[in-house]
Formats: sequence, C-alpha cells, structure tokens
Amino acid sequence: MEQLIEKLVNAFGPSSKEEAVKELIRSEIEQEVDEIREDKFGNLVVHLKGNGEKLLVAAHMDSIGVMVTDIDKNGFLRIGEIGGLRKSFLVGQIILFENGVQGFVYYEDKESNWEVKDQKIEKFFVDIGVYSKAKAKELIQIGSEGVYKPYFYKSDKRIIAPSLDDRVGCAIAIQTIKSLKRKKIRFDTYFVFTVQEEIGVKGSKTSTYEVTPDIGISLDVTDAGDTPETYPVSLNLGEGPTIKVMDGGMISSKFVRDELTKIAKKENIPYQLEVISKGTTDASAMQTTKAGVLSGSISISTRYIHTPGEIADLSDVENGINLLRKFIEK
Amino acid sequence: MENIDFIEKLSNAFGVSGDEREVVEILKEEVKGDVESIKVDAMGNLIAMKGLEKSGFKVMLNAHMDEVGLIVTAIDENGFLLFKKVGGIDDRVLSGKKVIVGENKFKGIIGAKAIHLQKKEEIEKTIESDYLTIDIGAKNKEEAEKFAPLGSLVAFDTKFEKLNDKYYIGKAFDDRLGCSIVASLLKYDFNFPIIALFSTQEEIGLRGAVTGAYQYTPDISITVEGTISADIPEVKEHLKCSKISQGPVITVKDKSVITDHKLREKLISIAKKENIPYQFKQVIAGGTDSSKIQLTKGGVRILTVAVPVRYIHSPVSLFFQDDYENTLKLLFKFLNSLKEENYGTTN
Amino acid sequence: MKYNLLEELTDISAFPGEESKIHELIKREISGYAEEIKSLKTGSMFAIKLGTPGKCSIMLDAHIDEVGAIVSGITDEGFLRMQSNFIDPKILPGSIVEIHGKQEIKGIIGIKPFHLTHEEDLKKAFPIKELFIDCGLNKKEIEEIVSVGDSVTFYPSFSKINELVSNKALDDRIGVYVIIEIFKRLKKISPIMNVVGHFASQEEFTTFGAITSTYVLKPDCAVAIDVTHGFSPNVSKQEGFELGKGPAVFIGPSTDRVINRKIIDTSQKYGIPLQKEVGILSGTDATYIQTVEKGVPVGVVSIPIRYMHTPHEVADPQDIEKTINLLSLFIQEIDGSFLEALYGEH
Repeated sequence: MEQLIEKLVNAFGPSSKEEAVKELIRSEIEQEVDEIREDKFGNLVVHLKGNGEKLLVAAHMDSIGVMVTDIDKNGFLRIGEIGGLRKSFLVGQIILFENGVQGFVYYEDKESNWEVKDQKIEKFFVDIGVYSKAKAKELIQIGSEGVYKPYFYKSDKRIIAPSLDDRVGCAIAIQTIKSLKRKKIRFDTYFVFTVQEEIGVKGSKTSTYEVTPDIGISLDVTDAGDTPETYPVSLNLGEGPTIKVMDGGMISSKFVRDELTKIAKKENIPYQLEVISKGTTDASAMQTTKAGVLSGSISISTRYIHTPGEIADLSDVENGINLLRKFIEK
Repeated sequence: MENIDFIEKLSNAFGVSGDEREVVEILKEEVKGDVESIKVDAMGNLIAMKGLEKSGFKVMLNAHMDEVGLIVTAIDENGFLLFKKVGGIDDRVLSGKKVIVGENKFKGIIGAKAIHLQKKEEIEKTIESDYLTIDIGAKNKEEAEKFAPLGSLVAFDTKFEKLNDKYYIGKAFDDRLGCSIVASLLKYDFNFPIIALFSTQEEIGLRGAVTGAYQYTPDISITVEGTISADIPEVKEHLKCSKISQGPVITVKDKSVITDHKLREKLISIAKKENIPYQFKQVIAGGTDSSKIQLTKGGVRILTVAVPVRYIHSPVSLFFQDDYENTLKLLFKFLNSLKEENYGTTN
Repeated sequence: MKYNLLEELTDISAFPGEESKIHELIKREISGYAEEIKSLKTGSMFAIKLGTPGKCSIMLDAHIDEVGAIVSGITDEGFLRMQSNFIDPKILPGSIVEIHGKQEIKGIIGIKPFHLTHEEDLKKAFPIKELFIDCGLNKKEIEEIVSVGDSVTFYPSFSKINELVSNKALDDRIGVYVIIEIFKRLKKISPIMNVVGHFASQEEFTTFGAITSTYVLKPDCAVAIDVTHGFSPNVSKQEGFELGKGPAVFIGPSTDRVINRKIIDTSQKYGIPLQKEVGILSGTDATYIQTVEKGVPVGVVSIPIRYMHTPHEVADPQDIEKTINLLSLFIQEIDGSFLEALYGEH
C-alpha cells in the first residue's frame, strides 16, 4: 500500500497539470475495468458495470502548488498560489517545477528580522540559483507551476509526505477497484479521478454532470485533532476512516452517512464521524448537480494538511478501502 | 482609430449591473446585419449567433455589458440619497464625484465636505461609502423619491474623450472594450459556429454567463476583458499586473480560473508568428465569466484575453489605442487559425 | 392568524439535512388544496395547484430548514462540544437547546460563574469552541443517546409578546405558513398559471433544495417568501424594517423588474402596505433559483423579523396576513399581459 502512495506522491500534479498522476493511475487500473476514458475536462473516468443505482466515487489527482507570475531582472521568481497554500509554510521550502528545476523560497526581509511578519504572497520569491533573468527564462516561464518537493517517509504505521491530499484518496480508489468482487457489486459504479479540485472542485462538477449519478462519494482527507494545543475536532489518527457528517461546503446525505455507518458497524470496521467547519471535497460539487445527488464522503484524518509534511495512518487507509468495498458490494 | 465612435457610444452608455438594456440596444443595432440570430434571455444576456449551419466545434466569444456603479437604498429627510455599491469599488474614488441617477438620468453629485470644515483627523480618514450621500438637488424627500425611487441605479458621469494622440479616457472600459472587440469579430466569418455572449451581472458575481452558456454551450470560449493595469508610480514591478502599450493581456491564472494550457500556447504562437505584442496577467487577481462558462455541463475549454486598462472600477479609466487594436488583431488571427483538430479534450 | 399552526410549524426542529420531520405537517395542512404533493430525496417537498389553462407555472418558495449546530465531540465528563457556521455564539451562553440523537434530549449551555471570572475576561465573547452543552448525564449515559454528528437546535418557546409573536425558526416557517394559507385562498380562485408551493431544504447552508428542485420543476418564474431584518435598537433604519408596516419586496439586480412591478402594482391596487428592500443579491433561495439552467425570473417578498437566527425571533402577525393577501392577489392578478411582459424580450 505504501509503495503505491509513494509513487503517487512522487508524481507531479498541481491543479490543471495532472497528466503524470493520470498516467500512473491509468497504468495501475486499466486492466481491471470495463471502460476507461478521459472526459473533455481532463478527468479520468472509469466504469465498472453493474446493476442498480448509479454510484460515482471521486478522488482528486491535483495537489496545491505555486505558479510563477514574474521573473525579475536578476532571475528571482515571484509566485502566486494554486489552491489553499498555507503561506506560513512557504519560506524554507524547496519547490519542484514541472521540468525538474528546483528553487528555494525566501522572503523580503528588509529589517533582517529572520522572521516572516507579513505573509502576503507578494513578499515571497523563489531563488532557482541562476545569475540572470535570461538564464531564468531559459528554465522557467510565467505560468510555470511548481509543488512542494516530494518526500516520503514511513514511520511504523504512519506516513509523512506532501500531497497525501489527495493521493491517499487516489490510492484508496485504486486498491478498491483492484479488490472489488465484480460479481457482487450492487451499483453501476463509476470512479472518477478528478482534476482541479483544489481551485474550486471543478473536475467534480463537470464529471458529475456527465455521469449523472444517484449517489456520490468523495475520497479525500480531513483534519486531525490529536496534536498539541490544536483546534478541537473529534478526529484522531488510527481510529478509522471518517464518515462525513458536515464540512465547510456541505451536509452529507443522511442516507449515505447512515448506510456507511451501518456497514462499518456490521463489518467491524473502526470509523469516526467527521464534523468540521472549514474546507470541503468533490462531494459538495456533486450534490447540487441537476436533480441532486445523495452525497457523502470517506475521508482519512490527516495532520498538517496543505503543508509539506502531511501525516496519515496506514490502518485508516486500509480500513477506508474495506469500508468502500463493503459499501459497493452486496 | 477605426471603431472609435462605437467604443464611445458603448462607454457612455448607462449599464450598471442589473440594467444593461441600453448596452443591449447599442450592440443589437451594431451586430444585427452580421449575425443570423439575436436573443435576449431571462437574465438579460444578449446572445448573437452565426455560422450555425457549420459543423465541428462551437466557439463562444464573451464580454460583459455591465459596469460597476451604485444603487439607491434610502432617501434621507432632506432629499439626499443613500446608496450601496454595485460591484467592487474603492470608497476613496467616490468622494466629490458626478454621477447619473436612474432611468431618467438625473445628474447628481456625491458631495464632499469642504476642507475648511474638517478637523485634522477627518482630513486623514477615508469616508466609507455608508456615510456618503448623492445630492440631486431635490427640494425635499418627496421630490427626491419621485426623481430617484428606491432601487435606482447610479453610474459615474464620465464622457468618453481622447486624452492625447493615442490615449483615451472614459468609464466602463471594463468591459465595453471587450464588447466592442466581440462585436467587431462578428463581422467576419470563420470555419465554425460563433456564439457571442454579451453577459450581464458579471461585476456582482459572474451571474449572467451561467445561464447564457447553459443555453448555448460551446466547446471553446474566449472571454475578452478590460483588465487591471497598475503600471503607475509606487507600485512594485512584480505587482503592476499588466502594462499599457505592451499589448493584449493573456491570463494564465486569476482568482477564478486557470486557462486552457494548449489553447493558450496556440494563442501565443499566433502572436509570435504575426508579430503581435502580448503580455501575461502577472498578478493572480480578479475573476471572470470564463470561470463560469468553463464549468457549464460537461466542461468548456476557456481562454481569457484582455486590453490593459488603468483605473478600472473608478470614474475615469484609460486605455491605449494600439493595445485595443492588437487585442482585436490577435483574436482575429487566432480564430482564423483554429482548425478541425481534436478540440474535444483538454489534451 | 392561526397561532396554533404557526406554533406547530415553528416548534418542529429541522436542521439542514433533517427536514423530513416537517413534511408530514405540511402535507396534512395542504392536502385538499393541491392536486399533487411530493417529498423529494433531497429533503425538499412540493405541492402543485393546477391552473387554467395551466400552460406555465409559478413557484412559491419557502425554506423549511432552520439554523443550529452539530455535536462535534463528547468530553470525558459527558459535556457536548458543538460546531456551527450558522449562529452567533454570543447568544448561546444561558440558552436551552435540543439535541437530536437516538431520541430528543434537552441540554443547557452554561458558562463559568460571574464570581469566578476576571474583570477583563468579562468583555470577551465566547467563541463556539469554548462552549459546552450540559445534559446532566455522564459520558457513558450520554453516549447511549447522542453521538458526534447529531444536530442541535434551539429549544422552542412560542409566545406572544404583546401583539407580536416570537419563537425560534420564524425564519422561514413564516414563509411556509404563508404558502399554506395562499393555497387555501387559491381554492376559490382559478389562477391561469400552475402554482407550485416549494418547501426547500438546506437554504441556510448551500441552497441545495432550491437549486435541485428548480432543475426538476422547471418553473417559468418564482417568488421566494423569506424573512428580512426588523428594526430594533442597534439596527439602523438602513439595515432593518419596521414591524407592522407590511412585507418588503426586494429590488435589485437579482430580482426581476416585471415581477417587482406586478407585486408593487398589486399592493397599490388593493391598498396593502409594502416596503422596499434594496440590495444587490438577496440572501434567499431566489438568488440561486435565478441562475439554474437557462435562468428563471424571480422575485422576493420578505417579512421583517427581529433578532434573526436567535432562539426568540419576533414578527408582527399583521405583516404575515398582509403577505398572504398580497401574494394571493398577485397570483390572481397574473394575466396574459404579465406573461407577455415577462417573456417579451426573450
């Protein structure tokens, strides 16, 4: 399981440039499915034919990142945000750009404070170690995208890496597809690996319109409340995948939430109920499509989301796969 | 400049978000000879189409008709009008300005208290729009209510004029310049159906584009805007967003959207081939109709191209003739180059 | 004014997503006045009265969900933590709430006594994460009834404050009441349009109900019946409306000129007082109904209430009656020329 997640984390894929992640996912599952195609928005749509209501399961391929907005006269890069970048974590990071160039993020420090006081994005810059604008322009263009340089470490049962949001969700989808007992599936099932979730749940909106499911489930990450002096949420690593009640963008359908809870109890899968106030997932875009989709989410409690060192528990991921599988099978 | 009278008419027209009818009439009159069908939908969008009999991918050209302004929310006992802002406006451009009020186009002034009467602390503070009023010279509250009933829209009273050789000033260049460019492009025939969406209520949430694009959904859409040019003193180099005289502004990312990478590269290659100057929008700011069109039904591939304009969302804006002409030229050449390749996916 | 019905409607608790409880009550009241009544999986429901010739339809929309909170944790001592995007935490200390677990239970939100609080802390408002619900049970006992994810609503307390009425959830059960009463009036009238009474779910959060129902019902126009702010101390005349001076019609870019004209004309013709609320986007279902598919012309009529989104909202029953009159007559007045004007340009 962790090898798959590591492969996914290492694939470059900030919002709108998910090709590498897409290819990797495609190679993992194309033998296991009835239909696999890319829709006109760039989402990877997978169909496992079945009788019953239409189910759409979504995991997003894109990660947050930065975009180059200016190259100054000395070759320093100015950047803008792609998605909900946590600016407090930018300084001191190595950014990896699409063509392999790397750079270090620093900030305007006129008073030599060695402390980032003002976190406006316009005060940061990336140094890619060149000595002229001309040289920089050979390597980078305005519009070039970059991500936190990938890193992966497994410690006992937990993993530390950037972009577990949402490569973990993609891994759950992949493993579920591989382990589903095809004869037992009770839905006409679609897995959609979506694009541009981090900049407005865009891929989910358009793919849901095309598929028109009855039920929708997103696979994503959510907060954890088990770190020192943190905002109180009743979500802890290792206590099971979470079943969404409410987040900053939607209230789960009671039907989906109750179904998932029932199955978790019956199959002895540990689970937690997710209640958070900020942030949302692909499911919120599904919900208001056409006549409405009964939407919910299985999310993995993760620490330090949108930082270079997100941390999740592998047992939660394994249990997430179990829960999803049991939901789809009779 | 070729189209200058038309741009002047558009700029001077009264079209604050919520009542764009005057702009609709001007555009209808201009394009009616060039297109096969003209419709106005439930949101007031003007949709003009041509080449519908052609097969292949459909292209949408989009510009918004509305401008930022004010709306009368109350009238005080003395006949002065209180208002709310329609669209994003910096309170600091409002004080002491002339405006046009309501369907009857009454002239008004957002009165500024004489400096002689201000205390020192007052002079240094911004007056928030909640504390400003519009004076339409009414004798009393009843007269004011007759002239400017509640809900009347208010626009800046700025006449279009030539500042000098190639610089023009006026109001609402965001986005009457875009409307003018789209209307001009409709004079030509291309290899595909063209749907021109002149949208409403862009400034208050990109609202008209949602229904316009739903009814006539294209495969590719280009939003033509008048965008931020902050190339003025005191603004750092990397924060100028775009510069006057450097050509059409191509958006890679703004706050609402990342434009289609392949289409944008094609656009840039055309600019290079045809020797048309161009620049990128260098601050991730603002949102455009393209973000709503992009998410219509199964998705639409979008581009956003703009004329650089100084001082948008204020009583007087400025643009440079060559920038306008180069934006029009770039789009024309780009549309001419679009072929029956596989434009079905983002790849 | 049917105080009993209004009390029943406002007493029921329906946090967004849990609206099915109220469907039975609405069905009971509106049966006999509509040819079709249906509950949807989205939590919304609708009732249709057919018109003659009934070639197009008008949707009257009121939302059935109310504000509240969600249980986000259970402490070792058996207290409940809450999460909410909907309410001002300042009104919670000293409140009584209802938790919807395996059964409904009451709880109170108490704070540290005044005697033990430092002077400077008295000025600080409690953020919601520092507040707890006390149900008088220990952890084991409460976990048998309540779990994380259960909803919490204000405990009802319907009363008459002199001539005014007060309870939780006047927002927007007043609207529901108005639609039910309009349907009763319509029994004697044959409108030319079909009238759809739409009771929307989740307006307070994502307008999920109104958006999806509009896609299903495809009305030709719609009027949302909601509430707006009533004038009281600390609420200026610009922000709030006087109670007793009639409902307010919303004028601005997000409502339709023709519909507003008709509403205003109807009010003038029949001498019904009508106030005007001017704004950009009304904070109602109408804003979202307007941009569904190819667009729907919408209007908004709101009844002023004081202390919105608190346990004791206050309204004037006369304003409610006036709204019922106004909209029943508005529907009656709809004729061919109105429809022509509505669609004239399109």
